[in-house]
Amino acid sequence: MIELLSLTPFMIFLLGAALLPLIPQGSPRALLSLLIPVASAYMIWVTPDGIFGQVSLAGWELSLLRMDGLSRIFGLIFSLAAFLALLYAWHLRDTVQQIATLLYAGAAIGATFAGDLLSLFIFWEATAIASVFLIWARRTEGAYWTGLRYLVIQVGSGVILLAGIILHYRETGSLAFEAMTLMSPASYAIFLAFGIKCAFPLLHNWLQDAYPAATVTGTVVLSAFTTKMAIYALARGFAGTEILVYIGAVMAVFPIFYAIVENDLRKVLAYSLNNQLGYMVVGIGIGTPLALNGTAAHAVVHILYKALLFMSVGAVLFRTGTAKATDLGGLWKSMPVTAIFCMIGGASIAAMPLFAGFVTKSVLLSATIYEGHYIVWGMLLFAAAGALHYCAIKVPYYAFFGKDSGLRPKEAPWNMLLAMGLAAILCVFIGTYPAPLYALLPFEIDYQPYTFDHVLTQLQLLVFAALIFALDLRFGYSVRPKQSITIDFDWTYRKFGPALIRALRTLIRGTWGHTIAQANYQFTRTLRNLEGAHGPTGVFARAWPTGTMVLWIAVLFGGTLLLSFI
Amino acid sequence: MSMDRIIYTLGALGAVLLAVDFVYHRHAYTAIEGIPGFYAIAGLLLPAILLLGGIILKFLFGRSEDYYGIRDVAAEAFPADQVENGEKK
Repeated sequence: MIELLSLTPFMIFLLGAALLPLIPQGSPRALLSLLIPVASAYMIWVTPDGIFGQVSLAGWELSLLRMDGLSRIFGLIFSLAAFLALLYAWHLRDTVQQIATLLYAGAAIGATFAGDLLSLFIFWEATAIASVFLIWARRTEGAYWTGLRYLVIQVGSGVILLAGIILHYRETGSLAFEAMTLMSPASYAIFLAFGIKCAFPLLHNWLQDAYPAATVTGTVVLSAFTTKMAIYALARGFAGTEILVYIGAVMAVFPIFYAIVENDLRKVLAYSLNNQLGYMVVGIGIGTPLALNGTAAHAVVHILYKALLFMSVGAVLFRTGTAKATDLGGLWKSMPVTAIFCMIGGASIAAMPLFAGFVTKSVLLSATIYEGHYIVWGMLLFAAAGALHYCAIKVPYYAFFGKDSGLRPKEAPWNMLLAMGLAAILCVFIGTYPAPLYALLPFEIDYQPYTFDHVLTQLQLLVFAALIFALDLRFGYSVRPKQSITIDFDWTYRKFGPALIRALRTLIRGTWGHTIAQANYQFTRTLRNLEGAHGPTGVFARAWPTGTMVLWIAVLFGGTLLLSFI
Repeated sequence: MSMDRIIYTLGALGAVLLAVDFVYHRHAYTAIEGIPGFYAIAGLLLPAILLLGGIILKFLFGRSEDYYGIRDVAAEAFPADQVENGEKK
């Protein structure tokens, strides 16, 4: 038993998920579920660097526990995220969601420690299958269809990964998951599979489609794992791949336009999640130790403040039944603590000095400018100003301040407040004292975020950006939220694709019908002609008198005789 | 109105921060970044671009909530049994 459990932290989650239904609902079960990520974090903490958990499966040598700096930090933050999400879901009495959460978190941690591509694939698919239940648990028709779309894309990513792995094995004869270069079909397939789960531009829609459709607690769980698992996989497999710098820059910029116009605050946060991933992808693309440290550190704090923001909006949804900016406002009067936590999350994502985002975003920005990517650096600056608006200002403003909606819900339940409080404390702690986080990073780091220059320039950027947004709110409301959605690239497969197929169907059906009708007509005409010639009244069926025949033979002979004389 | 006070505070804070730029010489990695007031101008300009982009985006691609019909959650109410506002159901 102990031997099985020590294979990989995933086993702890698997065992927990198996035992959970046997424990009565309520506090005992919630308490057990909280112990699981603690056990996993402990196991990760005490395991030294190296490769463990080797098993052989159908002749393949798999290694389930590769421990090094990169996998350790992701494993730890995933365990912490699972802990916070489960604490946030303490009140939940839904066995499906409890088990899905454990298996999903476990699978993401399993993928993090996978030393070979085959076990990576298994965990990769497991996250897809486990997580979809967090969307379906909403139990509405919309959620059902959204879950299906999510599942198709997620499983599709796994299938592409498997294709890549098979090609990779044929090429190299090895299943080890090591750094790759983007040159063969195998590496392109693996890159694409990672890119789908990482929500690269144009491959990103599953995220904004699915996350706002999950349950209150489900969205918090979803926000932590899938995309950061893909970030980890990219950092492991494709660090220093230059195209990632540009992909990441585009990714950091375009979602913020959607984030400022969307009405559903959970959708705003989903777009902002996408934009924050852009920063990490840029870091992976640069690939220097500083940049990779920046990516890992940013993934850690991003999981914390994004979970915090999703938790605070989730608490609002839990108490009011809506997360739409148009329906909310003035909630600080009855939910002041949630409002404060939400603003701490906002300040962290906006990289306000003393908050978590500042000490990691500045690492990435420095890494970008050290390597001479000036345009990309400018794009990241733009994204930083944007982050201030959609998260730090828009989300708290429309939910807790702004126009009073008249709603006076109760403050969030104690477990939600506790989970948010822990995340908020961590955001402030890391922001003011980043040394413990820096010590966990995969490479040696000698970086000082709190220089006078950094603080000054960041404050200048943020204060002037805030001024513009405040002026906009005061005078213009240029992007006042409306009860509407804004269509994105998923329009191509949700509207245009089906419409194209319908048009093709009409075209094919029409062509087919016409062809059949024509063929029928021609066939009938041929038959009629044949009947005309050979039928009972046809010309060939006529009875000829013998004399006529003899006459024609005589003419023929005469002709022949005439010709032979000429 | 409190919004006005926020605007004045931000304006005053911005002016002070901008003033520091002219007294203190920052270490810049690029020529453009080293220009005094660069970050202040970026802070004014970038959000303006963002808001303009938002207006255009919404104008071009804004649709009603039921655009995707019943196959999307945008138009449906959040299930009441998953809401606990303390009122008796």
